[in-house]
Amino acid sequence: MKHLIWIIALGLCACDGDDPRTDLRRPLLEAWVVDFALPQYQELVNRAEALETAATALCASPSEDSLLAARDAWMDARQPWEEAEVFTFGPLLDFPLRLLPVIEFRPTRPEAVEGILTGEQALTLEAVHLLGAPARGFPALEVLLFTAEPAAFVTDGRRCDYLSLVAADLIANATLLVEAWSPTGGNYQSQLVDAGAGSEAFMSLQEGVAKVVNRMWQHVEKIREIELGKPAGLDGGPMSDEGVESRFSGRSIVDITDTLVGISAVYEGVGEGLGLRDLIAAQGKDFDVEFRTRLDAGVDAVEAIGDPLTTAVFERVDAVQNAVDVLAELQRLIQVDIMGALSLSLSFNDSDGD
Amino acid sequence: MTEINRPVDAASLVLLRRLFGALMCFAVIRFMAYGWVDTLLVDPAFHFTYLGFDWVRPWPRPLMYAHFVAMAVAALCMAVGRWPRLASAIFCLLFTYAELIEQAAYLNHYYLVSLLSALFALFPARLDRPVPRWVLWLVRAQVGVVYIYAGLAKLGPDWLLQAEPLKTWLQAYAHLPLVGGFLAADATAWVMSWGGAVFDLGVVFGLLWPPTRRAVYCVALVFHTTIWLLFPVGMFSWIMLASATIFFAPDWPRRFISRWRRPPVGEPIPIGAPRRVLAMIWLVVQIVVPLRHLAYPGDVNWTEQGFRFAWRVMLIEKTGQVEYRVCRDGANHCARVYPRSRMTPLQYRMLSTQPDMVQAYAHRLALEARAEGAPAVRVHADAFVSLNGRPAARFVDPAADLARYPRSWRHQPWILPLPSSP
Repeated sequence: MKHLIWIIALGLCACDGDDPRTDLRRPLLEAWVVDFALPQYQELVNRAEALETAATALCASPSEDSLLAARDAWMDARQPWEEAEVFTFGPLLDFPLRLLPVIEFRPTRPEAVEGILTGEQALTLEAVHLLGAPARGFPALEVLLFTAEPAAFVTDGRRCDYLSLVAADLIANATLLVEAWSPTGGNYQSQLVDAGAGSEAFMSLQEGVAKVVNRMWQHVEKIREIELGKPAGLDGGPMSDEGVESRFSGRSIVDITDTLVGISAVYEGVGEGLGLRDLIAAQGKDFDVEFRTRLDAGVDAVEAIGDPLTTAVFERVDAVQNAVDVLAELQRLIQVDIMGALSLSLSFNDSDGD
Repeated sequence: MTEINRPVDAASLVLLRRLFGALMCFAVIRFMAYGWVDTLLVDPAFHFTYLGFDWVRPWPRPLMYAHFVAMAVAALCMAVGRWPRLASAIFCLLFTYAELIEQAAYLNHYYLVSLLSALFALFPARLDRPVPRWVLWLVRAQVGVVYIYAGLAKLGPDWLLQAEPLKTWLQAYAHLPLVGGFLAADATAWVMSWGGAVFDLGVVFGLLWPPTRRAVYCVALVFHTTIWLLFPVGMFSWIMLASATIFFAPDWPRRFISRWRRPPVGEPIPIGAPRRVLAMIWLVVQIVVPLRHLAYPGDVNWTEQGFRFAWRVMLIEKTGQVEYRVCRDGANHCARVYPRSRMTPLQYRMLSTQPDMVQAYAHRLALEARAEGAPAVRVHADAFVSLNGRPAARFVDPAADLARYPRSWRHQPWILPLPSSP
């Protein structure tokens, strides 16, 4: 009904003759996907392939060097994944693909990996595809690579088989992710870019933009609550390193700063491409200095915690608390000021309006 | 016979009741079809309750649906004129109960629905007999209160001097072909802001005066349809367009509905003294309650003390962030609580801008801590809001122990004032 009335209204206004005001939202959504999300996911595929190659080399010739090379490859593969964390929706969360758990199941469950290593089931790629999420993806690879010495890859052929297959599984899932977003595949890109113009996922353009901006502050909150606060007992619970992301590799702090770098890219744009700042500027507003200041302060505070986070959550709680507090400023800027300036919470109620 | 008791045709009242019933029947079915019974009432792990109505709880899911089906049937009876007062009473009770379950789902027009259905239940309206004139004017007053207070609420600096929040909201339509540039232009926000205020303040008088009635109703049609097209106001526009017909001549439906042509005869339907007194109290309450914000210090759009049940419609663009610190005696530090993961998105969005809900959740956290054996608990909130484009500012005193302050209608001293700087 609304659409019909809109069509009539548009017809009546045809005499207006003015061109529509330049609206950056759709180009911005396209830039976010084309310039950032898709290249990040493609890079994830590339680095997962490098990881598989390194794993194969490790198993062919186990040594300190080959193990170190495989660990480095795992670390490298984390970067595009963490940077693109803002885009954790759509194919990563929605059925039928729902790729997030099989790429990054948290918290890591080393016992699930040990269960496979000590088990007797045949290990094939098909079998790995059917494994539970805790035995797949980045966390399983981390456990395999960072909890064993080179000798383990000599004496334990099953560890090598499992490592190679989980690496191949990661490639397969990362490839599925790229295909799901790609216009030549599942084309989730069009769901976002065509928000309000045929998209089934986003009923309005504003909803599409709100999805990404909401994810920005929600990931800052996730860092504060889940990745820093909870392990350090800031939620009132016991201190525990079990919930620390990438706890066996010691990449926890870098994981967090990578996510913040990704949030920065969404705000500022990639290269000359559009970023959220351009949309804000088009509304006559400017948060650039505040955003940069608060983001830099957040990165500095996180880095000041010092590696490894698994130790810091017990011994440097004040530094963790400080990072949580400093990041609150960044979260607030996005969640309150930017969301408000762009009216991204405009839906008076989940049911009806005012 | 005094002027207010003079007999008057109840046809416009009867038609409004029927239109209202039809709209409500549609609205209730739509509510169920969209799954809102589950998402708003059944699914939440807990509910924000209204002060004094903590006892109102959702039924188990099947009963909740039965509740809504009964509501739709009652509305249908109103629409077709079957046992209209009994149906109105049943609808009013069922609707109001559902409305009271979740404070986060508060809508001005839900409140109006409760009030109108109560009036239809309390006071008679039939086609074959007149009613005392004051009955018609009571319903007119109820609808008029909505428009006039909505207009008065717009007489503020943000609305009139900044054209906010319309200036911000209308940017969302900049992409539309042909009308996008027009809608997103600052001038449009200014015209709509001032025009909206003038409309709300003048529409009642324009509809009551026969020479302007048709033209003003046409304006109302354009106004409410535009609002419905631009903003997610759901049934609000249609309820107001139906309600606005009550300002027409009392017998106007008889000119259009052939079966209703025969005029009413006899004496007005007698209404006893208790209901006459009730009508007076009703009127006073409806005039006073929307003004109660004047009894609280600070800007009502910021403090929200006296904001609800006051027809402050579409006035504010607010975004907020709320976190809590739960401090147990003897603990080394206060536990930080992020409420977003503990409630529905709607509940969190409403919590993050509304002080009384911030306090209500603080009480819940204190209760949880005490249930876990903490003898003494303090609950502090770090709560920030941006109102109509202003920079984020604290609206709750972070040093205040919210668990210590009882929920009440009194001024809450822990609500910080709106910062004066832009």
